[in-house]
Amino acid sequence: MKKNSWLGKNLGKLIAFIVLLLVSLLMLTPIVWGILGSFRHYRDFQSNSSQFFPSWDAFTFDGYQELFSKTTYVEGQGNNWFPIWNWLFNSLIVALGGTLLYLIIAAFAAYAFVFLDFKWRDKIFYFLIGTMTIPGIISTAPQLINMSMMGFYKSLLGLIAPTLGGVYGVFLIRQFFVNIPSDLIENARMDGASNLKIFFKIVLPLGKSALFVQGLFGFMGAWNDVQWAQLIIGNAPRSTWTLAYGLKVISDNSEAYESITLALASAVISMIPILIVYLVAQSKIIEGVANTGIKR
Amino acid sequence: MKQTTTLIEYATKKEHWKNNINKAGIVGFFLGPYGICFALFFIFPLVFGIIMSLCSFDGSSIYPSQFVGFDNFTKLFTNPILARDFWKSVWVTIRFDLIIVPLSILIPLGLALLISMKPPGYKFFRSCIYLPGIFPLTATGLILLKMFDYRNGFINAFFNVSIDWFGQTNTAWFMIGLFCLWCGMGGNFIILCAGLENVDKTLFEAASVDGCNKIDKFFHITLPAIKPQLFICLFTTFIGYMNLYGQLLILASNTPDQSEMKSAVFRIQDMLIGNSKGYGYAAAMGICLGLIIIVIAVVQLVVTKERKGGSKHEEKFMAWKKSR
Amino acid sequence: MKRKAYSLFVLAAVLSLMGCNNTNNEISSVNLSDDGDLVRDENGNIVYENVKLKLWSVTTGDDAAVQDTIINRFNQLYNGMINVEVTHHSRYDIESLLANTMNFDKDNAPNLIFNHGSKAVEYANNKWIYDVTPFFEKSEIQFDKEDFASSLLDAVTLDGATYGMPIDCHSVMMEMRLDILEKNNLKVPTNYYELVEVCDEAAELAQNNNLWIRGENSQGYDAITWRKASNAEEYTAFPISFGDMWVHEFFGYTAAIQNGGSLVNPENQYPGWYSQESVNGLQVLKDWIFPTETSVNKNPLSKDYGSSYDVGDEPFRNGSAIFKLQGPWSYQNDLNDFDRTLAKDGGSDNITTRNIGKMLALDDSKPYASKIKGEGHALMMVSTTTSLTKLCAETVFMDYIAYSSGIEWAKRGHIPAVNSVAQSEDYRNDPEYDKYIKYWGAPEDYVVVPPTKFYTHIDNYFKGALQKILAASFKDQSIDSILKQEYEDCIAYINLYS
Repeated sequence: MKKNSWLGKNLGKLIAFIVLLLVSLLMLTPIVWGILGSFRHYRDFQSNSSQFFPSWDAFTFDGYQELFSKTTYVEGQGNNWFPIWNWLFNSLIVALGGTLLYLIIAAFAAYAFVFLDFKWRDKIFYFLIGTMTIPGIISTAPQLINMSMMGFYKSLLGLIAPTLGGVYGVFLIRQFFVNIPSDLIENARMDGASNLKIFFKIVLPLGKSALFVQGLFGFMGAWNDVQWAQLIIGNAPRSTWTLAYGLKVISDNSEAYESITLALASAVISMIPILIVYLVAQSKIIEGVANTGIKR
Repeated sequence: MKQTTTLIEYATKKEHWKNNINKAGIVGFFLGPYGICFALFFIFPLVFGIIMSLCSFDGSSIYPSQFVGFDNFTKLFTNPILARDFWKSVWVTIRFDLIIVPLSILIPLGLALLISMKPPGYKFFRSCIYLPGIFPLTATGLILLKMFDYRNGFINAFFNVSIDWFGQTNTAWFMIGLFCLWCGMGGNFIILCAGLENVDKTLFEAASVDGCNKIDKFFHITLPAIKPQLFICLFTTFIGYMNLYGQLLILASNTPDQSEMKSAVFRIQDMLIGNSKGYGYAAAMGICLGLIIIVIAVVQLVVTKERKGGSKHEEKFMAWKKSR
Repeated sequence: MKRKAYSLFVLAAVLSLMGCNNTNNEISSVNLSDDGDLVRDENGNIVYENVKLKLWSVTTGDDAAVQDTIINRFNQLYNGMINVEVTHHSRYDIESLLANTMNFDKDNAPNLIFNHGSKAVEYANNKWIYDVTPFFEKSEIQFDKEDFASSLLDAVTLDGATYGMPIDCHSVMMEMRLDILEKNNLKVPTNYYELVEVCDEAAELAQNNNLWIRGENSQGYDAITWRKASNAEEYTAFPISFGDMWVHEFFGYTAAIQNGGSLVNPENQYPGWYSQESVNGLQVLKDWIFPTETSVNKNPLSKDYGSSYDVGDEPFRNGSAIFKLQGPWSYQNDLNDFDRTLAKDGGSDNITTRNIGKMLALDDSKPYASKIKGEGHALMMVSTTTSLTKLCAETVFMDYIAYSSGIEWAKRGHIPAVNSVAQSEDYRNDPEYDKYIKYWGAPEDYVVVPPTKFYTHIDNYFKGALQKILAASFKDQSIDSILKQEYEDCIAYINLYS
């Protein structure tokens, strides 16, 4: 009887557990294959391609060694200079700096769109969303011209600036702010709280999961960006490259047959910082909201 | 007559005026920084892009050389090859969207619901499901290419089949879909997870007291509560896949029937290679695609009828409860 | 009203912006009638003092390393006079990097570009590069056009102007397993019919479990022990696939050319590849995978590898193929591999290489039967440079690269564009020449795409046609109809742009 009721109570959780386990396995399998592949000799991809695990004698650190072997500048060897630590630093500046700046201005804007009353508020917001529908591809060339006119060509600012005008984050954060009960705000206003106070004391704590989600997306986007980076900093000195672009150049410049090990190794390396950001942030922030709950 | 303005009138007017300025100041403070960035880094290039669609190019410079009005747009309808290829690619894109967008929402929603039940190890599962999305697209694409290779791939060997996944139109689209789900649904998943975390738990308790079953709770509490998140997922996923390009470039470059594999943005990108003569057409195509997206998005908007107030769904819930 | 005025203002501002930037794009012109900034010594020779030149090169990997040593040698030779600093960019990046530099950052544009000759006309149309001839006249360095392979020189020549100096040419080549050929009493093929004979015979031997092969494989065989090919699976001696870059960059075009087809119509720069000759050539390729009653080969020369790429590599190594297609720049690697795996039994002598001349020709008595579709590198002079001293120094460098990179560059699979270099003693007496370079042919055997403004489209649509012709899903469509369809689409796009 007792056991039965335990099962009855937890059947849902059990099913959830099994389904999630299966899905996670499916999602992870190729990734594990990829991570293993970064330690796999390129030849083994061909001769043992039908094996999930690399064969023993095909184990190699070549990919990683190649990536970290040329980090110091040697006179006359400029083409073999890959200052990975510089790139890491630049990437952090672009990804962290850009994301934080954007989070601030986007959260302010989202606050205005939800809690402030002004003429055409919703119309402006829908116009904002409307602009998202225009494919980004038509503004790529003009944006490049724009950056060059502002003097951001060949500079990290050229990577940060365009992200600040993004609509997606404002949209996302607003969608979360909308869920915050409006009477909470009204009450605070009655008590004479200023908008800034309301923003920091009420809206931010309740809506921070939105900031986390957007922060993660923004960081990831900036971190992994290669195409725009190539246009802006491709012609800049190597020390101003970002990690993603630099790794791409290393991989393009290697002999074609080696490139798979190298490409996977560089993917693993570039993935680590995002993984850290994600793992640290996920428990702190998403869970945090759940614990506070929305108290009324 | 101005002279007859009384003191009181003057005072209230001034007060009003002051209030207005104050209000404008607050709005400016909150919206201003973003507004400036939006204008400089989003609207300006966009306007420039629209102007480019009205111009022709000399082939070497990325600056327009001549204003040609709506010529580029008319060509999209009148030039046989341009009309055929572009509209075909738009149709190919929409067709794919119709399948991938619902999947990219329903699957993450289901998974997020399972996560919200908090089974043992749910944090780990949540990370696993998001993990493929943080790998660079080129790397995940390479992994798929190698694993699904026709003669030497792990998948064909493991399941003992012989399918050229990337060599036929249907299987290639299947692979693109798989790629999009595998690496692309993590975003929606995270948004929905976060949305579900914010659902007011007291409502569930109230509902339990009233003896609602789980399905009722889902449709009348959970779903309305995460509607804003569902809306943004739907909207941005739809736009995202209308702009499908990278996944195709990585996986389908060797698929023989390219006309069946090219999305709208792929066609636009094709216009940009070689020299700048195609820039005008590319911009015009981009705007046409944008208009199509707007039309479909507005239909979505009307159908889903997004709401503003946070407490609305609770009122609705109360009303629904009463009606029982 | 106010808003309308404002939007008009914005429009005007943007348009004027476009206008002023347009003037930016004018070609810089150099006055050649006087000496400009040239300094001459008492004998009238040009004095080069610390001239710094920037070169962008499309080479990567080991090619880049070899090129660096050649350029370093030049810098040492001209120490204190001319110094060339090279930056390597992969072929995927160089176009957009160059376009951006020429649009936004002309001050930092390179002085020289080392890129594929087929790009020259496109760059010249953009006014990014100079006609090199006047500068050679100015610096009094001889540019003996007779000495260059005509097809390579043609590729950089448009309306009488020469937009670069050809340096080399390269294509795909065949590798073959001599050990397997010998063990089975098969001979090295010299033309298409002999190749088919060898492959057919190997396939039939394998069907009867009589074909000797060897090579390491996943079933635990080692590299050196001979075994009989299993008849459980059909044996194909020469794997190719439509997903393979060797096929769509070089092999497909070569099939058309060796049967009398042409790439570009010289009169109007339009595609020339839709013809009965091309159809015949591509039929050879289709039969390669899908033989019919009428085809020369009875058995498929290759399995249907579909969209896979680098399909020859693994079978060649494990013995389940005799031939493979490979870029010549990888040949040294393969030699090293066989030296290692077959060290006890002849090492790299177990393999050899041939160019693909005559290997796809239905009639090898024709003069075009031995032609090979290749691609050449050329050095081009960027039009942002206005200093005559720099421009003349560039010609010194170009001359050096064309005449002095010879054998080293050829070991990487780059046949010199200069005939006198290819015939020189230095070149011919090198042991590597005798070992393999001689099999890759002379510069005159190579054909590159003639100059055309429409290169990108001509190339893309031919590749599209080729992929369909070799794909199982289009097996039932005639080659003629596929080629015709792609040709018409190609023409339609070209007309749209002109």
